[in-house]
Amino acid sequence: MEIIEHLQIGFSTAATFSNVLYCLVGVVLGTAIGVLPGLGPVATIAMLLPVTFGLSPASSLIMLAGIFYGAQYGGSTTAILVNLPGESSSVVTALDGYQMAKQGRAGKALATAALGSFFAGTVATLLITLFSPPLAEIALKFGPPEYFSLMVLGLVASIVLASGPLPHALGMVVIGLLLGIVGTDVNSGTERFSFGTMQLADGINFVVVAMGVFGLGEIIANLENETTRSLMVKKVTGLMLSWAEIKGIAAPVLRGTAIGSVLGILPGGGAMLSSFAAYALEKKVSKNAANFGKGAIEGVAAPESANNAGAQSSFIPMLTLGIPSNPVMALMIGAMIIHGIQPGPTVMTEQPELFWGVIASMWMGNLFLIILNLPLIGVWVRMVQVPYHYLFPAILVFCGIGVFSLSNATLDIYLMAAFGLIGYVFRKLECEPAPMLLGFILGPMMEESLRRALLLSKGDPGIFFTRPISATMLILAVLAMVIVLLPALQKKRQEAFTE
Amino acid sequence: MRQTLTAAALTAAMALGSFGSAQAEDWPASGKTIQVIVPAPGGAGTGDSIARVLADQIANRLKASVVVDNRGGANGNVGATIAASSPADGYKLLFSWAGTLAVNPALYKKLSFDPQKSFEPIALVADVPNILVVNNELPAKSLAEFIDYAKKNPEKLHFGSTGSGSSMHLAAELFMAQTSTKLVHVPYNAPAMATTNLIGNDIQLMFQLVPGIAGQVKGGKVRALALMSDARSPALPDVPTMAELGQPTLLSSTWFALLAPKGTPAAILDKLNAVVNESLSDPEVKKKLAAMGAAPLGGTRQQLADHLAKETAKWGKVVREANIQIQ
Repeated sequence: MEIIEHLQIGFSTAATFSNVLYCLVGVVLGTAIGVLPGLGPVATIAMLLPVTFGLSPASSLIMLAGIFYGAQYGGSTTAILVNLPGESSSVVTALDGYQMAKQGRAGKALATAALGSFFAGTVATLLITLFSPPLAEIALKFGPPEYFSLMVLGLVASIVLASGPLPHALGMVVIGLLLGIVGTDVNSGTERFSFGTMQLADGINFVVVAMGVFGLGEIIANLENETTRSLMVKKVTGLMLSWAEIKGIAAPVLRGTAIGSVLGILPGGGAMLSSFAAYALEKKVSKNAANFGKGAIEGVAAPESANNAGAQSSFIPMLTLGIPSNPVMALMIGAMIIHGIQPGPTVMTEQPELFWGVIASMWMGNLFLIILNLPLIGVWVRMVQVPYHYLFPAILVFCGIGVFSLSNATLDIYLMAAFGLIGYVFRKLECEPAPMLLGFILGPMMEESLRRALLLSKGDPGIFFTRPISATMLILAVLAMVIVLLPALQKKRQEAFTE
Repeated sequence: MRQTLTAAALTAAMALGSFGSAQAEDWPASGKTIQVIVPAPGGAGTGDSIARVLADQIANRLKASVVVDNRGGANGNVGATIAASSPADGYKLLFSWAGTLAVNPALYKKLSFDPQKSFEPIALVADVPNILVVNNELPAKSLAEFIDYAKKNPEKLHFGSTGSGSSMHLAAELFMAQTSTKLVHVPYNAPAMATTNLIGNDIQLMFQLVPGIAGQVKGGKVRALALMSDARSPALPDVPTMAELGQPTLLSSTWFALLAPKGTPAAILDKLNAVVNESLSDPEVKKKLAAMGAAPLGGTRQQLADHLAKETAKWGKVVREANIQIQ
């Protein structure tokens, strides 16, 4: 059994006292920065990179990896408790998680997130162990046309995300697409909507928009009516899940894990995309679909599993091909290079103890995280009971620090404040921000892939229909669109008949 | 009379000299921090890594506290602009590279800094060459075969880059101009997806930077044809240089240099130049640079000034002839 041999090599590296310690340090740090809004794994790992110079390569990678997937666990905490997604991948968790918290089910939402993440993390690690090289081949099959079609499918799915009226959702997607245009056009180098400031030449950071629209918008709305809020958080009931609830989330967790494991492999924000995709799918297949957006436990379970599976499987292209699928992986590659290891397909054969050591450490890390996070739930839930006039200034300060840490630019703080106001207006107009955020993420990727694909085909759009993966995804997009529009059309016809 | 004048001039010069050295002796004052501005996000690529190794060396050798201040954005223009308007007291330095210093003046219609006038050169630090890599399925096995193949198939081969005016794009423009070939530019915003598409044969070639592709070359996922540098790279010793293959003018690399805001006292600049050169001859630093696929450069302040002027002229010509422009 080759696999047992590999795991033996892995655990002989990962299970040494010092590496267990670094793994623990990594996941604790990751949880902490995940909880703090805006302060993400990229900034943290960039700051800690010099510290790892003195460690062995395996120890430093084990610690940095722990920070990354630890942040995925922690990111859901503020999303659920105060509607503030700490990480971009936990935006979707806020949709139903925060509603659950409002109903006094914060403990259950946090437990669901932790258990879902643990299950997904463990399964995705198993996938890495068994199938890394063949899975990496999937990433290679995704050329520009495939990416474009995937983004089209994603945009259609984003409309499914919304629980409000269809025209509102469409409008929000368009606003997101427009915001995504800000920045330098990759093809021509022309700056779009940068208003002559260099600070906008690279576009607006996703975290700035998400924290403004979700977090700050929520704070303004809460301040408008503080008494109702303090009423709602007092009645926190049961922290643990009942057997019926565990049975209810089993299928969403499995589906979320599957989606996350596949999408995480693709370069370009797989983990983030996977949480949106898992939520959209769940909303379509769940028996409880009517409750989505109103505190459905499945709406927490599926995206939380998906983002953790995606975080785990995004290691696959990095470990097997030396290609980073997100900025965190790029930093890990930087860490390897500094230690004199050339990331690439040869790492697995030349440095088996490093390769399998990092994978083995993920098993341990996920175990640490669940042990760490379950008892913490009680602590977090009490945090919400802190009077709001103490809580919200603290949240504002952390948001400010977090946003500034993105690129050391004060403009980002002003932008976040502006998006806070916009978020408040959206709330008043009953427009949900989630579709806007998805448009904001997918728009630029879709545009670039479209133009790249057309460059490759010399302007022939046939390239999207002749390549099988691309064609399949476009067909799925059309089907999804029909499913979304059909009930709306039928309703219109019924209205017409009744008149 | 003449003697008194000379004497006066001498005293004045001595006074000036002692003033300068007095400032340099105080520098770096304990309790003050030297900030090295890096016009790229933290942890982003080779530039940030080299800057951190260098900052570490300056800190140890001058017994001072040195921090890297990441100010990314607009191809390095954000950070360079901040550095250009920083106080010239030796506590603000700029660690930048070919793209921002030598290419942007031609690329951007208007820049809020002038690389040759807004800064005092300290020293060249290191350089990372471009390398021509092709997809494994391409029939061309050597540079000569590749040029031949490209000539027979004009506008059929696609190369990836990290955007208009990037090092990978300009290296390709230089290549096309000198070999009379026509390749199609496919810009990406990060090298990762371009490399994935290169291995997947969506694009056929890239003029990658050595550290970004050495692992894939060693692992047999792509084929390296030639290095655009004078000397072979320790990271890929089997890959011949363009000169060895009869193309001695096909040189392209991203070089890194340390600079200071205009008006920083010469004594401080000299002291920093000495520190950079000492650091670069340290075997430990050499090892770290080699691991990143970078070759140490060093040299005098004048050598950096000359190199900057030469490179600005060279890439300015490539940019104008290829008609690349950023608003």
